[in-house]
Amino acid sequence: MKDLKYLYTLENLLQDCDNEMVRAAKEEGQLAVGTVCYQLPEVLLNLPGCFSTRLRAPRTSSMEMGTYYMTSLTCEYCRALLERALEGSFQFLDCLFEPASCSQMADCAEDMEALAACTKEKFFCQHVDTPMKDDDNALSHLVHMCRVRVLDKLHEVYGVDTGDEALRKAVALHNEVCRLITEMGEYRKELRPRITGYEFAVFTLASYCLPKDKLLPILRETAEELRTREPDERHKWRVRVVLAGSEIDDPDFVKLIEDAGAYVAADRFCFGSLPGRQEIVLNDTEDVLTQICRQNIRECQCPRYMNTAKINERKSYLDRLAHEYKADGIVFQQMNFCNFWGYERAGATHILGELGGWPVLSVDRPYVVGTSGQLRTRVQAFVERIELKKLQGGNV
Amino acid sequence: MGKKMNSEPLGKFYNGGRTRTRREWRGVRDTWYDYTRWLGNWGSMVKFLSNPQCLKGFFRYRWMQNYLATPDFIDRHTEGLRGPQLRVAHKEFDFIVTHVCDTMKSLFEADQRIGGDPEKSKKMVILDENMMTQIMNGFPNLRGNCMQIPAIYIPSTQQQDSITFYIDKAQEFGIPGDVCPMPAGELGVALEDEYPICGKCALQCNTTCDGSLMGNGIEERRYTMPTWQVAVPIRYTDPETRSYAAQEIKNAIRFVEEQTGEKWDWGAYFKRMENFNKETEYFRSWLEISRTKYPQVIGNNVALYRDAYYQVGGGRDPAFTQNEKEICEIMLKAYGEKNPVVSQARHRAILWGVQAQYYSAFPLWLQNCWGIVPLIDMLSLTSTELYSTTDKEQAYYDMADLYAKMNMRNRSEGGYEVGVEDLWRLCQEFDADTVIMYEHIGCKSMTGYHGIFEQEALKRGLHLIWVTHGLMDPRKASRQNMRTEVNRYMRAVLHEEPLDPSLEEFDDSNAW
Amino acid sequence: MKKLLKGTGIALLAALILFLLSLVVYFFNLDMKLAAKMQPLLNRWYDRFPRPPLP
Repeated sequence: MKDLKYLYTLENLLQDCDNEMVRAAKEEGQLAVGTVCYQLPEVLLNLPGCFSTRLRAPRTSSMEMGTYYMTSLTCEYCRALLERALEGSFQFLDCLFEPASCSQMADCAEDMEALAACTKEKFFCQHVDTPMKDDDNALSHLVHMCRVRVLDKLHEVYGVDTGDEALRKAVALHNEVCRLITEMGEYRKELRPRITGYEFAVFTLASYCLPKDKLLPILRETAEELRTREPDERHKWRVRVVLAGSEIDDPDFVKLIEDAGAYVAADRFCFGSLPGRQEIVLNDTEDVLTQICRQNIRECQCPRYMNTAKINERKSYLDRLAHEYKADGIVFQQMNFCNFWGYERAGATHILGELGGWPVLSVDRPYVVGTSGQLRTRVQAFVERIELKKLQGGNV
Repeated sequence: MGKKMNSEPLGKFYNGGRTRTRREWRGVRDTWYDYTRWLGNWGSMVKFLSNPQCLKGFFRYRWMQNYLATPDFIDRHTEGLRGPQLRVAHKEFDFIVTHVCDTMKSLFEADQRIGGDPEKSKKMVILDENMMTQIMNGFPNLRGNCMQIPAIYIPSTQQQDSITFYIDKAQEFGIPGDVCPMPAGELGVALEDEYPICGKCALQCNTTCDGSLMGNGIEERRYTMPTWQVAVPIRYTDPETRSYAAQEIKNAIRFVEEQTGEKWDWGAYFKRMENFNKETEYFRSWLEISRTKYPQVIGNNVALYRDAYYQVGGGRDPAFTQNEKEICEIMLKAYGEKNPVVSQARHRAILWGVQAQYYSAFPLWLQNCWGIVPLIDMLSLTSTELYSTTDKEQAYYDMADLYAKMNMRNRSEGGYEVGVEDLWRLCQEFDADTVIMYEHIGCKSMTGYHGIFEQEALKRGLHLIWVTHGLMDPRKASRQNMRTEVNRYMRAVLHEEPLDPSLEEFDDSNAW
Repeated sequence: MKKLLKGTGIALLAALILFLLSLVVYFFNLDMKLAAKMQPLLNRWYDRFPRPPLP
């Protein structure tokens, strides 16, 4: 297939958090708002004059300082972020919102604060309690916390306009990004897909980490390119999979899976598009913030949501995705030392695999995994297992 | 051997076997006292097993065999003690024996798997292990019971390897090996289908931690009753979370009312909270004395017992209140006599982090071996507030506050202020020069503060001794590993000699 | 009367023997040593029960 025009550009930009596009936005006077998780509605961090950037630690090699502070028994994503913070990589941030998503991330953010990882005078790190269920009480809690701990804080410190009009503008921007990403993502349902899982992962990741207003022209052009892009006659993939689980902020992991013969048709992981890149539909009657928060908690597929309906929904959501994207199996991965995804992986493998009949590859993995031979072997074996099952006439 | 502390080398009782070679001779008075308490505990256990349902339960559930080690458990938690400390320990641990027997009896009498009474089952609400129980204070006709406490929590203190079977089952299922063994063990019991079948409905909670929350979701697949999840704020110290938390309590109460047909009784609730407040006042007096030069109720004599009445008792059992009153009397008399708790008090210590369940007697070892006085532990430093006994709206906030300040969770969640900064304040208050920092290998909640703890302790000139453990899985770090970490520090950094050299290294790898 | 005294004497003697026995059991930790021997037998007993898979 012909290379996508901006793929290389985005790959380069994503090598650094404080990259050219981020610097350009900052020079215009925009505030760089750091975030670490889906739990806080992203759109609130993209009000006019702000852009959100979901933190990652590209090209991580050593995490010695992060490990000293957090020990070798904690999530590497958190340690890598702390390492970068201590190295000064997040000095460009004007603030950081941490939504109490998991204990380890909370500790990481607090360590960053205590160790003065960002020394700007007005920099603040705000911890925000977020709900763990999707009922009415949870919704009113999220609305309240977003109002007092996010919007009011941004307004108080930086004078950001947090009124309804500003929120609607941010939603409009968010929605256009989502429309374009979703349009690109739909092509993955094709049996001869015109976009690889890797390419899609790069664009989606960019939409989380780069200023959206600057990224939009690239997304528009790419969407246009894809409308007429011809897929290869024969492709290298032997099976199609849904990639699910915890945080993946390195598209090389997706590439590894695809190089091993499994096309990543759907991305149900943190930093992925399912959920995360669905338009927010607003009406004109209800409070805007409430509508935004409602969508966030209704769509959330994070395992920290503990009510029975949500627990069951996560499995049926994956099942639906696998059917919709014509997957042959599910790769369920989990960052080492992640409590939430560790249990979720085991439970989902049992329900979707043993009970649901889906072939499931269940793996735990380190943060830096792009070149892991071990993982490649596991995926190759999984691909062969699915092929064998197909040959033997088993339903997949 | 004799009536003085450290008069007998305690390490020599361990010969690598399952049990100790013999019990201590503590002088005529204390040995006679200990003997009568031993008889009493056996009496409680025989009485328990004489109930046919309890006998059936004993032979049905694998985790019940761990209770055979109960007398050994008490011996471990009274090792080296004399006089008032011995009496306080027995008052507490013997009480726990009776209480746990009563809890298990109520479970087995309602257990449908072994022919229990369905009517009793209908009057039962199953609670999550790691959740406070004050929600039941307003339901005098219902019994709140936690199945995981007798199956996992208590056995983990009775025998060091009691939970490994269930942890292995969880890992066979696919749970990673790095998670906390407590929810893994609880899940293992569910996978083995070894929970009693009883209860009209169940309440689950996100306390203590992420792991607990997640284990619940899978365990629930074994439940045959409606289940409601209570979400307690993570950042509970943020005042903006309180109305949400109070509403969660209201919703949980409504759920129990709907499922059981019982109505919330404010009179009963407030009466029980009066009891609870009384217990809190007693606890405050223990802490008051512990701040002085002659602490009395310390270490082991606080830890597990505080868990029991604060979380499980919840103010519902006046016997706890009476027990604490009597403990206070012993304490005040001993304080008046300037009774020493160790033969030589060399260091005053705060125990921070979560203790090793398989070595819950570790504080006693610190006392006996090195003269380190374990004044108080993190799990016991829960709420010491007095709660409303009149205001209904405030009561919801109070319950929410208690749920957030569940043992351990009140420090492992909530942020830096309660997990780290409070430690330094407490060291000053208690005039402690040493921090025994438990590092639970599978705990993701406090491990992230590791480096900060080191730096801050250094700044303050405190001895910070890391003690690594596996909570309920001794295979990750044995009891001797834990002792070695302290031994090394005491010898290499402080150049001290042990009070009891036989306790420095001894073989209890196979012991209960 | 004689019978009563004899009965009482026997009961007291039995109680004394039991008391002394209990002291021996207590001091030499014989109760725990016996309990330790019972555990492997109990484990074999518990292994007999069926374990339905998780639904």
